[in-house]
Amino acid sequence: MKPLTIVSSRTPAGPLLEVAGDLDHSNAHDLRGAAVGAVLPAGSVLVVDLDELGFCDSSGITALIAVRNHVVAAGAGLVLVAVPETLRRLLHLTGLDQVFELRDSHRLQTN
Amino acid sequence: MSPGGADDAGAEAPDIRPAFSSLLEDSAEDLYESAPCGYLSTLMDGTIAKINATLLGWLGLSREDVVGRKRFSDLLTVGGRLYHETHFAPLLRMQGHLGGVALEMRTAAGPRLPVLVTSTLKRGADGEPLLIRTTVFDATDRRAYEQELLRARRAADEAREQAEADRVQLREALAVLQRSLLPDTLPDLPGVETAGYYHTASPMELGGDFYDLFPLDDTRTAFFLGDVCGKGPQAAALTSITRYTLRAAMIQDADPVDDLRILNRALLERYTGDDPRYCTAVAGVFERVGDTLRVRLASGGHPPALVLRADGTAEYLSTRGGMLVGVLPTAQFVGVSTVLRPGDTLLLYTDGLTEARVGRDRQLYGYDALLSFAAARAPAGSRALVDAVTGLLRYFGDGLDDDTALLAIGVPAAS
Repeated sequence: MKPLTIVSSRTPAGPLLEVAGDLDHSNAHDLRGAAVGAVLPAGSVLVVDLDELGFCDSSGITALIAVRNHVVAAGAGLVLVAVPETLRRLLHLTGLDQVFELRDSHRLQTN
Repeated sequence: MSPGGADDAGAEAPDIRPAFSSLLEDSAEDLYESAPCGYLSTLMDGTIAKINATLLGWLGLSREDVVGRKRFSDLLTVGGRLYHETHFAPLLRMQGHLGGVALEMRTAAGPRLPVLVTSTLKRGADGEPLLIRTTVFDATDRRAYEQELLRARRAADEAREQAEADRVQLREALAVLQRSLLPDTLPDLPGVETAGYYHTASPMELGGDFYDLFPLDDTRTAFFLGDVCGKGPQAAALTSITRYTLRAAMIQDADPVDDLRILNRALLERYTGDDPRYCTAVAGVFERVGDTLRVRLASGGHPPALVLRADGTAEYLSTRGGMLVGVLPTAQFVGVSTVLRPGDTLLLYTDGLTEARVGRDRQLYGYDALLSFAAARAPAGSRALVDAVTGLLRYFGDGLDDDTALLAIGVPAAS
Protein backbone atom coordinates (compact mmCIF):
# COMPACT_ATOMS: atom_id res chain seq x y z
CA MET A 1 0.00 0.00 0.00
CA LYS A 2 1.29 3.40 -1.00
CA PRO A 3 -0.28 6.02 1.28
CA LEU A 4 -2.78 8.32 -0.38
CA THR A 5 -1.83 11.98 -0.68
CA ILE A 6 -4.07 14.70 -2.06
CA VAL A 7 -2.50 18.08 -2.85
CA SER A 8 -4.91 20.97 -3.37
CA SER A 9 -4.07 23.99 -5.52
CA ARG A 10 -5.82 26.16 -8.07
CA THR A 11 -5.85 26.57 -11.81
CA PRO A 12 -7.46 29.53 -13.59
CA ALA A 13 -10.47 27.28 -14.27
CA GLY A 14 -10.93 26.23 -10.64
CA PRO A 15 -9.50 24.02 -7.94
CA LEU A 16 -6.98 21.26 -8.72
CA LEU A 17 -6.60 18.06 -6.69
CA GLU A 18 -3.50 16.01 -7.36
CA VAL A 19 -4.12 12.48 -6.11
CA ALA A 20 -1.18 10.11 -5.53
CA GLY A 21 -0.92 6.65 -3.96
CA ASP A 22 -3.48 3.86 -3.50
CA LEU A 23 -7.18 4.64 -3.27
CA ASP A 24 -9.31 2.04 -1.45
CA HIS A 25 -12.07 1.74 1.14
CA SER A 26 -9.75 2.95 3.93
CA ASN A 27 -9.13 6.37 2.41
CA ALA A 28 -11.82 6.87 -0.25
CA HIS A 29 -13.57 9.36 2.04
CA ASP A 30 -10.42 11.53 2.00
CA LEU A 31 -10.90 12.18 -1.70
CA ARG A 32 -14.56 12.96 -1.17
CA GLY A 33 -13.58 15.28 1.71
CA ALA A 34 -11.00 17.09 -0.41
CA ALA A 35 -13.61 17.79 -3.09
CA VAL A 36 -16.16 18.98 -0.53
CA GLY A 37 -13.46 21.26 0.95
CA ALA A 38 -12.67 22.85 -2.41
CA VAL A 39 -14.20 26.25 -3.21
CA LEU A 40 -16.41 25.58 -6.22
CA PRO A 41 -18.32 28.56 -7.60
CA ALA A 42 -20.98 27.68 -10.16
CA GLY A 43 -19.40 27.45 -13.58
CA SER A 44 -15.93 26.58 -12.24
CA VAL A 45 -14.20 23.29 -13.03
CA LEU A 46 -12.68 20.90 -10.50
CA VAL A 47 -9.68 19.16 -12.02
CA VAL A 48 -8.61 15.86 -10.45
CA ASP A 49 -5.15 14.80 -11.57
CA LEU A 50 -4.78 11.01 -11.23
CA ASP A 51 -1.34 10.69 -12.84
CA GLU A 52 0.25 9.32 -9.64
CA LEU A 53 -2.73 7.17 -8.66
CA GLY A 54 -1.72 3.57 -7.92
CA PHE A 55 -4.26 0.91 -6.92
CA CYS A 56 -7.92 1.90 -7.26
CA ASP A 57 -10.81 -0.46 -6.50
CA SER A 58 -14.58 -0.06 -6.46
CA SER A 59 -14.34 2.15 -3.34
CA GLY A 60 -12.26 4.54 -5.44
CA ILE A 61 -14.96 4.51 -8.11
CA THR A 62 -17.53 5.22 -5.39
CA ALA A 63 -15.45 8.17 -4.18
CA LEU A 64 -15.17 9.57 -7.71
CA ILE A 65 -18.94 9.27 -8.12
CA ALA A 66 -19.46 11.06 -4.80
CA VAL A 67 -17.06 13.80 -5.94
CA ARG A 68 -19.00 14.13 -9.17
CA ASN A 69 -22.33 14.32 -7.32
CA HIS A 70 -20.92 17.10 -5.13
CA VAL A 71 -19.53 19.03 -8.09
CA VAL A 72 -22.76 18.73 -10.10
CA ALA A 73 -24.80 19.87 -7.09
CA ALA A 74 -22.56 22.97 -6.89
CA GLY A 75 -23.24 23.73 -10.56
CA ALA A 76 -19.59 23.16 -11.41
CA GLY A 77 -17.80 20.77 -13.75
CA LEU A 78 -15.40 17.89 -13.18
CA VAL A 79 -12.46 16.82 -15.29
CA LEU A 80 -10.30 13.75 -14.59
CA VAL A 81 -6.84 14.04 -16.09
CA ALA A 82 -4.06 11.53 -16.65
CA VAL A 83 -6.32 8.61 -15.70
CA PRO A 84 -4.18 5.44 -15.31
CA GLU A 85 -4.88 2.58 -17.72
CA THR A 86 -6.46 0.22 -15.15
CA LEU A 87 -8.91 2.87 -13.95
CA ARG A 88 -9.62 3.92 -17.54
CA ARG A 89 -10.48 0.30 -18.34
CA LEU A 90 -12.77 0.10 -15.30
CA LEU A 91 -14.53 3.35 -16.24
CA HIS A 92 -14.89 2.07 -19.79
CA LEU A 93 -16.39 -1.24 -18.67
CA THR A 94 -18.87 0.37 -16.30
CA GLY A 95 -20.01 2.99 -18.80
CA LEU A 96 -18.65 5.73 -16.57
CA ASP A 97 -16.43 7.04 -19.35
CA GLN A 98 -19.69 8.69 -20.51
CA VAL A 99 -20.15 10.31 -17.10
CA PHE A 100 -16.64 11.60 -16.42
CA GLU A 101 -14.77 13.94 -18.71
CA LEU A 102 -11.33 12.41 -19.18
CA ARG A 103 -8.32 14.48 -20.36
CA ASP A 104 -4.70 13.60 -20.88
CA SER A 105 -3.29 16.59 -19.00
CA HIS A 106 -4.66 19.38 -16.86
CA ARG A 107 -2.27 21.81 -18.57
CA LEU A 108 -4.56 21.63 -21.62
CA GLN A 109 -7.37 22.55 -19.30
CA THR A 110 -5.61 25.51 -17.73
CA ASN A 111 -4.51 27.48 -20.82
CA MET B 1 23.01 -25.28 70.11
CA SER B 2 24.03 -22.00 71.65
CA PRO B 3 21.81 -19.05 70.79
CA GLY B 4 24.50 -17.23 68.82
CA GLY B 5 25.80 -20.34 67.12
CA ALA B 6 23.69 -20.01 64.03
CA ASP B 7 25.01 -16.57 63.28
CA ASP B 8 28.74 -16.85 62.99
CA ALA B 9 28.82 -14.34 60.13
CA GLY B 10 26.85 -11.84 62.21
CA ALA B 11 29.22 -12.29 65.12
CA GLU B 12 32.15 -11.29 62.92
CA ALA B 13 30.51 -8.10 61.72
CA PRO B 14 31.34 -5.89 64.74
CA ASP B 15 35.08 -6.56 64.16
CA ILE B 16 34.85 -5.14 60.65
CA ARG B 17 32.48 -2.17 60.94
CA PRO B 18 31.56 -1.84 64.62
CA ALA B 19 29.94 1.60 64.30
CA PHE B 20 27.73 0.64 61.40
CA SER B 21 26.81 -2.67 62.87
CA SER B 22 25.69 -1.23 66.17
CA LEU B 23 23.76 1.41 64.33
CA LEU B 24 21.98 -1.12 62.14
CA GLU B 25 21.38 -4.03 64.55
CA ASP B 26 21.18 -4.10 68.30
CA SER B 27 22.87 -7.45 68.31
CA ALA B 28 23.44 -10.58 66.27
CA GLU B 29 20.81 -12.22 68.46
CA ASP B 30 18.29 -9.55 67.56
CA LEU B 31 19.19 -9.87 63.87
CA TYR B 32 18.48 -13.62 64.12
CA GLU B 33 15.25 -13.30 66.03
CA SER B 34 13.70 -10.36 64.20
CA ALA B 35 15.03 -10.98 60.68
CA PRO B 36 12.48 -10.41 57.91
CA CYS B 37 12.57 -14.15 57.20
CA GLY B 38 12.11 -17.27 59.29
CA TYR B 39 15.10 -19.27 60.54
CA LEU B 40 15.15 -22.67 62.04
CA SER B 41 17.72 -25.33 62.79
CA THR B 42 16.82 -28.98 63.03
CA LEU B 43 18.60 -32.14 64.07
CA MET B 44 19.11 -34.81 61.47
CA ASP B 45 15.91 -36.59 62.56
CA GLY B 46 14.01 -33.37 61.84
CA THR B 47 13.51 -32.29 65.46
CA ILE B 48 13.50 -28.52 65.73
CA ALA B 49 16.36 -27.32 67.89
CA LYS B 50 16.13 -23.61 67.26
CA ILE B 51 13.59 -21.31 65.62
CA ASN B 52 13.43 -17.54 65.36
CA ALA B 53 10.66 -15.25 66.60
CA THR B 54 9.71 -14.17 63.08
CA LEU B 55 8.73 -17.70 62.04
CA LEU B 56 7.01 -18.42 65.38
CA GLY B 57 5.02 -15.22 64.85
CA TRP B 58 3.98 -16.25 61.34
CA LEU B 59 2.87 -19.67 62.55
CA GLY B 60 1.25 -18.42 65.75
CA LEU B 61 3.27 -20.87 67.87
CA SER B 62 5.30 -20.43 71.04
CA ARG B 63 8.89 -21.57 71.36
CA GLU B 64 7.91 -24.10 74.04
CA ASP B 65 5.42 -25.77 71.64
CA VAL B 66 8.06 -26.29 69.06
CA VAL B 67 11.65 -26.63 70.23
CA GLY B 68 12.49 -30.25 71.04
CA ARG B 69 8.87 -31.26 70.45
CA LYS B 70 8.11 -30.87 66.79
CA ARG B 71 9.87 -31.80 63.62
CA PHE B 72 10.09 -29.41 60.68
CA SER B 73 7.65 -31.57 58.69
CA ASP B 74 5.08 -31.21 61.54
CA LEU B 75 4.85 -27.54 60.59
CA LEU B 76 3.93 -28.33 56.99
CA THR B 77 0.57 -29.09 55.42
CA VAL B 78 -0.13 -32.73 54.54
CA GLY B 79 0.90 -32.18 50.95
CA GLY B 80 3.99 -30.27 52.03
CA ARG B 81 4.93 -33.02 54.48
CA LEU B 82 4.66 -35.66 51.81
CA TYR B 83 6.80 -33.64 49.45
CA HIS B 84 9.29 -32.95 52.22
CA GLU B 85 9.70 -36.58 53.06
CA THR B 86 9.82 -37.99 49.54
CA HIS B 87 11.84 -35.29 47.79
CA PHE B 88 13.10 -32.49 49.96
CA ALA B 89 14.85 -34.39 52.76
CA PRO B 90 16.50 -37.05 50.54
CA LEU B 91 17.74 -34.44 48.07
CA LEU B 92 19.08 -32.25 50.85
CA ARG B 93 20.99 -35.18 52.31
CA MET B 94 22.45 -35.93 48.92
CA GLN B 95 23.31 -32.41 47.77
CA GLY B 96 23.89 -30.68 51.10
CA HIS B 97 21.88 -27.69 49.88
CA LEU B 98 18.43 -27.10 48.48
CA GLY B 99 16.97 -23.72 47.63
CA GLY B 100 13.79 -21.97 46.62
CA VAL B 101 11.41 -24.86 47.26
CA ALA B 102 7.76 -23.79 47.46
CA LEU B 103 5.92 -25.40 50.40
CA GLU B 104 2.93 -24.59 52.53
CA MET B 105 3.06 -24.31 56.34
CA ARG B 106 0.19 -24.67 58.75
CA THR B 107 -0.57 -21.73 61.04
CA ALA B 108 -2.27 -21.97 64.43
CA ALA B 109 -4.99 -19.61 63.19
CA GLY B 110 -5.84 -21.92 60.30
CA PRO B 111 -4.83 -20.30 56.99
CA ARG B 112 -1.97 -21.89 55.13
CA LEU B 113 1.18 -19.90 54.73
CA PRO B 114 2.83 -20.29 51.34
CA VAL B 115 6.60 -20.19 51.80
CA LEU B 116 9.86 -20.58 49.92
CA VAL B 117 12.29 -22.78 51.79
CA THR B 118 16.06 -22.97 51.51
CA SER B 119 18.03 -25.48 53.59
CA THR B 120 21.72 -26.16 54.12
CA LEU B 121 23.30 -29.20 55.74
CA LYS B 122 25.95 -28.43 58.34
CA ARG B 123 28.58 -31.12 58.62
CA GLY B 124 30.99 -31.83 61.44
CA ALA B 125 34.79 -31.95 61.09
CA ASP B 126 34.50 -35.64 60.18
CA GLY B 127 32.06 -34.86 57.36
CA GLU B 128 29.11 -36.37 59.17
CA PRO B 129 25.91 -34.31 58.88
CA LEU B 130 25.18 -32.54 62.14
CA LEU B 131 22.19 -30.32 61.61
CA ILE B 132 20.06 -28.57 59.01
CA ARG B 133 19.78 -24.81 58.79
CA THR B 134 16.66 -23.55 57.05
CA THR B 135 15.48 -20.13 55.96
CA VAL B 136 11.78 -19.59 55.28
CA PHE B 137 10.48 -16.72 53.14
CA ASP B 138 6.87 -15.64 53.23
CA ALA B 139 5.67 -16.27 49.67
CA THR B 140 2.12 -14.98 50.15
CA ASP B 141 2.64 -12.11 47.70
CA ARG B 142 4.31 -14.35 45.20
CA ARG B 143 1.62 -17.00 45.49
CA ALA B 144 -1.05 -14.36 45.09
CA TYR B 145 0.79 -13.13 42.01
CA GLU B 146 0.99 -16.66 40.62
CA GLN B 147 -2.67 -17.22 41.31
CA GLU B 148 -3.47 -13.93 39.63
CA LEU B 149 -1.45 -15.09 36.62
CA LEU B 150 -3.30 -18.39 36.61
CA ARG B 151 -6.64 -16.63 36.93
CA ALA B 152 -5.75 -14.22 34.13
CA ARG B 153 -4.66 -17.11 31.98
CA ARG B 154 -7.88 -19.00 32.64
CA ALA B 155 -9.84 -15.85 31.83
CA ALA B 156 -7.85 -15.41 28.61
CA ASP B 157 -8.47 -19.06 27.69
CA GLU B 158 -12.18 -18.64 28.32
CA ALA B 159 -12.26 -15.41 26.30
CA ARG B 160 -10.46 -17.11 23.44
CA GLU B 161 -12.88 -20.05 23.51
CA GLN B 162 -15.80 -17.63 23.57
CA ALA B 163 -14.32 -15.63 20.69
CA GLU B 164 -13.81 -18.82 18.70
CA ALA B 165 -17.40 -19.90 19.41
CA ASP B 166 -18.66 -16.43 18.39
CA ARG B 167 -16.61 -16.66 15.24
CA VAL B 168 -18.12 -20.01 14.32
CA GLN B 169 -21.60 -18.67 15.03
CA LEU B 170 -20.94 -15.54 12.97
CA ARG B 171 -19.61 -17.61 10.09
CA GLU B 172 -22.73 -19.79 10.18
CA ALA B 173 -25.00 -16.72 10.28
CA LEU B 174 -23.12 -15.16 7.38
CA ALA B 175 -23.38 -18.38 5.36
CA VAL B 176 -27.15 -18.49 5.95
CA LEU B 177 -27.48 -14.83 4.97
CA GLN B 178 -25.32 -15.35 1.90
CA ARG B 179 -27.42 -18.31 0.80
CA SER B 180 -30.57 -16.23 1.24
CA LEU B 181 -29.26 -13.89 -1.46
CA LEU B 182 -29.03 -16.72 -3.96
CA PRO B 183 -31.65 -19.18 -5.18
CA ASP B 184 -31.54 -22.52 -3.34
CA THR B 185 -31.81 -24.40 -6.59
CA LEU B 186 -32.41 -23.38 -10.17
CA PRO B 187 -35.81 -24.42 -11.53
CA ASP B 188 -36.05 -27.41 -13.81
CA LEU B 189 -37.09 -26.15 -17.25
CA PRO B 190 -37.95 -28.41 -20.17
CA GLY B 191 -35.48 -28.12 -23.03
CA VAL B 192 -33.13 -25.86 -21.03
CA GLU B 193 -30.04 -26.71 -19.04
CA THR B 194 -29.01 -24.19 -16.35
CA ALA B 195 -26.20 -24.14 -13.81
CA GLY B 196 -25.07 -21.63 -11.20
CA TYR B 197 -22.06 -21.28 -8.97
CA TYR B 198 -21.00 -18.85 -6.27
CA HIS B 199 -17.42 -18.49 -5.09
CA THR B 200 -17.07 -16.74 -1.72
CA ALA B 201 -13.70 -15.02 -1.36
CA SER B 202 -13.92 -14.81 2.44
CA PRO B 203 -16.17 -16.84 4.78
CA MET B 204 -16.08 -13.93 7.25
CA GLU B 205 -17.33 -11.35 4.79
CA LEU B 206 -20.61 -11.25 2.94
CA GLY B 207 -20.02 -11.02 -0.76
CA GLY B 208 -21.76 -8.66 -3.10
CA ASP B 209 -22.46 -10.89 -6.11
CA PHE B 210 -25.90 -12.24 -6.85
CA TYR B 211 -27.88 -14.14 -9.48
CA ASP B 212 -31.37 -15.46 -9.94
CA LEU B 213 -33.44 -17.33 -12.51
CA PHE B 214 -37.22 -17.81 -12.39
CA PRO B 215 -40.04 -18.63 -14.84
CA LEU B 216 -42.34 -15.78 -15.92
CA ASP B 217 -44.85 -18.04 -17.65
CA ASP B 218 -44.94 -21.31 -19.58
CA THR B 219 -42.45 -20.20 -22.23
CA ARG B 220 -40.53 -17.27 -20.75
CA THR B 221 -37.94 -17.23 -18.01
CA ALA B 222 -36.24 -14.24 -16.42
CA PHE B 223 -32.68 -14.21 -15.11
CA PHE B 224 -30.14 -11.77 -13.82
CA LEU B 225 -26.66 -11.68 -12.36
CA GLY B 226 -24.73 -8.80 -10.87
CA ASP B 227 -22.27 -7.36 -8.45
CA VAL B 228 -22.98 -4.64 -5.88
CA CYS B 229 -20.27 -2.22 -4.76
CA GLY B 230 -18.55 -2.99 -1.48
CA LYS B 231 -18.63 -5.97 0.84
CA GLY B 232 -20.08 -6.93 4.20
CA PRO B 233 -23.50 -6.23 5.73
CA GLN B 234 -24.11 -2.99 3.78
CA ALA B 235 -23.38 -4.78 0.51
CA ALA B 236 -25.71 -7.61 1.58
CA ALA B 237 -28.50 -5.09 2.26
CA LEU B 238 -27.90 -3.55 -1.17
CA THR B 239 -27.87 -7.01 -2.75
CA SER B 240 -31.20 -7.79 -1.11
CA ILE B 241 -32.80 -4.55 -2.37
CA THR B 242 -31.34 -5.11 -5.84
CA ARG B 243 -32.43 -8.71 -6.10
CA TYR B 244 -36.04 -8.17 -5.05
CA THR B 245 -36.44 -4.93 -6.99
CA LEU B 246 -35.24 -6.64 -10.16
CA ARG B 247 -37.40 -9.67 -9.51
CA ALA B 248 -40.52 -7.53 -9.03
CA ALA B 249 -39.67 -5.40 -12.08
CA MET B 250 -39.14 -8.41 -14.32
CA ILE B 251 -42.42 -10.03 -13.29
CA GLN B 252 -44.21 -6.81 -14.26
CA ASP B 253 -42.28 -5.95 -17.39
CA ALA B 254 -40.29 -8.42 -19.43
CA ASP B 255 -38.12 -5.76 -21.13
CA PRO B 256 -34.68 -6.05 -19.49
CA VAL B 257 -33.67 -2.45 -20.36
CA ASP B 258 -36.80 -1.16 -18.61
CA ASP B 259 -36.10 -3.42 -15.64
CA LEU B 260 -32.62 -1.96 -15.18
CA ARG B 261 -34.10 1.56 -15.37
CA ILE B 262 -36.53 0.64 -12.57
CA LEU B 263 -33.66 -0.72 -10.50
CA ASN B 264 -31.64 2.42 -11.23
CA ARG B 265 -34.46 4.63 -9.97
CA ALA B 266 -34.95 2.50 -6.85
CA LEU B 267 -31.26 2.67 -5.92
CA LEU B 268 -31.03 6.44 -6.57
CA GLU B 269 -34.07 6.99 -4.34
CA ARG B 270 -32.69 4.80 -1.60
CA TYR B 271 -29.11 6.08 -1.49
CA THR B 272 -28.02 9.71 -1.40
CA GLY B 273 -25.37 11.61 -3.34
CA ASP B 274 -22.56 11.51 -0.78
CA ASP B 275 -23.07 7.79 -0.12
CA PRO B 276 -23.68 6.40 -3.59
CA ARG B 277 -24.48 2.71 -3.79
CA TYR B 278 -24.57 1.03 -7.11
CA CYS B 279 -24.28 -2.28 -8.85
CA THR B 280 -23.42 -3.75 -12.16
CA ALA B 281 -26.04 -6.09 -13.50
CA VAL B 282 -27.05 -8.06 -16.51
CA ALA B 283 -30.74 -8.92 -16.70
CA GLY B 284 -32.47 -10.95 -19.35
CA VAL B 285 -35.46 -12.94 -20.50
CA PHE B 286 -35.42 -16.03 -22.67
CA GLU B 287 -38.34 -17.47 -24.55
CA ARG B 288 -38.58 -21.02 -25.76
CA VAL B 289 -39.46 -21.14 -29.46
CA GLY B 290 -39.30 -24.66 -30.89
CA ASP B 291 -35.98 -26.09 -29.83
CA THR B 292 -34.35 -22.65 -29.54
CA LEU B 293 -34.19 -19.98 -26.86
CA ARG B 294 -34.66 -16.35 -27.94
CA VAL B 295 -32.65 -14.35 -25.45
CA ARG B 296 -32.89 -10.62 -24.80
CA LEU B 297 -30.62 -9.15 -22.22
CA ALA B 298 -29.52 -5.75 -20.97
CA SER B 299 -26.40 -4.67 -19.15
CA GLY B 300 -25.64 -1.89 -16.75
CA GLY B 301 -21.88 -1.54 -16.39
CA HIS B 302 -21.47 -5.32 -16.37
CA PRO B 303 -18.88 -7.41 -18.22
CA PRO B 304 -20.25 -8.76 -21.52
CA ALA B 305 -22.02 -12.13 -21.55
CA LEU B 306 -20.24 -14.96 -23.29
CA VAL B 307 -21.82 -17.45 -25.72
CA LEU B 308 -20.34 -20.82 -26.60
CA ARG B 309 -21.76 -22.07 -29.86
CA ALA B 310 -22.46 -25.63 -30.94
CA ASP B 311 -19.93 -25.21 -33.77
CA GLY B 312 -17.08 -24.80 -31.29
CA THR B 313 -16.75 -21.00 -31.40
CA ALA B 314 -17.21 -18.51 -28.59
CA GLU B 315 -18.16 -14.82 -28.67
CA TYR B 316 -18.97 -11.92 -26.36
CA LEU B 317 -22.38 -10.27 -26.62
CA SER B 318 -21.30 -6.65 -26.51
CA THR B 319 -23.36 -4.39 -24.28
CA ARG B 320 -20.84 -1.56 -24.33
CA GLY B 321 -22.11 1.75 -23.05
CA GLY B 322 -24.42 0.23 -20.46
CA MET B 323 -23.81 2.22 -17.29
CA LEU B 324 -23.46 1.31 -13.62
CA VAL B 325 -26.91 1.00 -12.03
CA GLY B 326 -27.65 3.54 -9.28
CA VAL B 327 -25.24 6.33 -10.26
CA LEU B 328 -27.07 8.63 -12.69
CA PRO B 329 -30.78 9.40 -13.11
CA THR B 330 -30.25 9.48 -16.87
CA ALA B 331 -28.18 6.29 -17.05
CA GLN B 332 -28.28 4.38 -20.34
CA PHE B 333 -28.62 0.61 -20.42
CA VAL B 334 -27.77 -1.35 -23.50
CA GLY B 335 -29.74 -4.33 -24.75
CA VAL B 336 -28.65 -7.17 -26.99
CA SER B 337 -30.40 -10.23 -28.42
CA THR B 338 -29.27 -13.65 -29.47
CA VAL B 339 -30.73 -17.04 -30.24
CA LEU B 340 -29.46 -20.15 -28.48
CA ARG B 341 -29.76 -23.26 -30.64
CA PRO B 342 -29.17 -26.84 -29.51
CA GLY B 343 -25.60 -27.08 -28.22
CA ASP B 344 -25.30 -23.30 -27.54
CA THR B 345 -24.64 -22.05 -24.01
CA LEU B 346 -24.77 -18.53 -22.57
CA LEU B 347 -22.46 -17.71 -19.64
CA LEU B 348 -22.94 -14.79 -17.27
CA TYR B 349 -20.17 -14.07 -14.77
CA THR B 350 -18.99 -11.35 -12.44
CA ASP B 351 -15.64 -9.59 -12.78
CA GLY B 352 -14.01 -11.69 -10.04
CA LEU B 353 -13.28 -14.05 -12.95
CA THR B 354 -11.77 -11.54 -15.40
CA GLU B 355 -10.06 -9.45 -12.72
CA ALA B 356 -8.24 -12.44 -11.23
CA ARG B 357 -4.45 -12.23 -11.18
CA VAL B 358 -2.42 -15.02 -12.71
CA GLY B 359 1.21 -16.05 -12.86
CA ARG B 360 4.24 -14.83 -10.97
CA ASP B 361 3.83 -11.23 -12.16
CA ARG B 362 0.14 -11.34 -11.23
CA GLN B 363 -1.11 -10.36 -14.67
CA LEU B 364 -4.78 -9.62 -15.13
CA TYR B 365 -6.56 -12.74 -16.42
CA GLY B 366 -8.74 -10.58 -18.67
CA TYR B 367 -11.29 -10.95 -21.43
CA ASP B 368 -9.05 -12.35 -24.16
CA ALA B 369 -7.93 -15.22 -21.94
CA LEU B 370 -11.53 -15.98 -20.94
CA LEU B 371 -12.62 -16.02 -24.58
CA SER B 372 -9.80 -18.43 -25.48
CA PHE B 373 -10.67 -20.61 -22.48
CA ALA B 374 -14.33 -20.72 -23.61
CA ALA B 375 -13.52 -21.37 -27.27
CA ALA B 376 -11.27 -24.26 -26.27
CA ARG B 377 -14.21 -25.86 -24.44
CA ALA B 378 -17.01 -25.08 -26.90
CA PRO B 379 -19.39 -26.69 -27.38
CA ALA B 380 -20.17 -27.30 -23.71
CA GLY B 381 -23.40 -27.78 -21.79
CA SER B 382 -24.23 -25.45 -18.88
CA ARG B 383 -23.15 -27.85 -16.14
CA ALA B 384 -19.93 -28.84 -17.89
CA LEU B 385 -19.09 -25.18 -18.59
CA VAL B 386 -19.73 -24.05 -15.01
CA ASP B 387 -17.63 -26.97 -13.77
CA ALA B 388 -14.80 -26.00 -16.13
CA VAL B 389 -14.86 -22.34 -15.03
CA THR B 390 -15.07 -23.43 -11.38
CA GLY B 391 -11.90 -25.42 -12.02
CA LEU B 392 -10.33 -22.29 -13.51
CA LEU B 393 -11.26 -20.30 -10.38
CA ARG B 394 -9.60 -22.98 -8.24
CA TYR B 395 -6.51 -22.78 -10.43
CA PHE B 396 -6.32 -19.01 -9.75
CA GLY B 397 -5.76 -19.81 -6.05
CA ASP B 398 -5.02 -16.63 -4.12
CA GLY B 399 -4.96 -14.70 -7.40
CA LEU B 400 -8.74 -14.72 -7.04
CA ASP B 401 -9.51 -12.25 -4.25
CA ASP B 402 -13.07 -11.30 -5.13
CA ASP B 403 -16.39 -13.11 -4.98
CA THR B 404 -17.40 -14.63 -8.28
CA ALA B 405 -20.84 -15.66 -9.50
CA LEU B 406 -21.51 -17.81 -12.56
CA LEU B 407 -24.81 -18.53 -14.31
CA ALA B 408 -25.04 -20.62 -17.46
CA ILE B 409 -28.11 -21.13 -19.64
CA GLY B 410 -28.02 -23.50 -22.56
CA VAL B 411 -30.00 -25.65 -24.94
CA PRO B 412 -28.83 -29.26 -24.71
CA ALA B 413 -27.32 -30.56 -27.92
CA ALA B 414 -29.70 -32.63 -30.04
CA SER B 415 -28.99 -36.27 -29.28
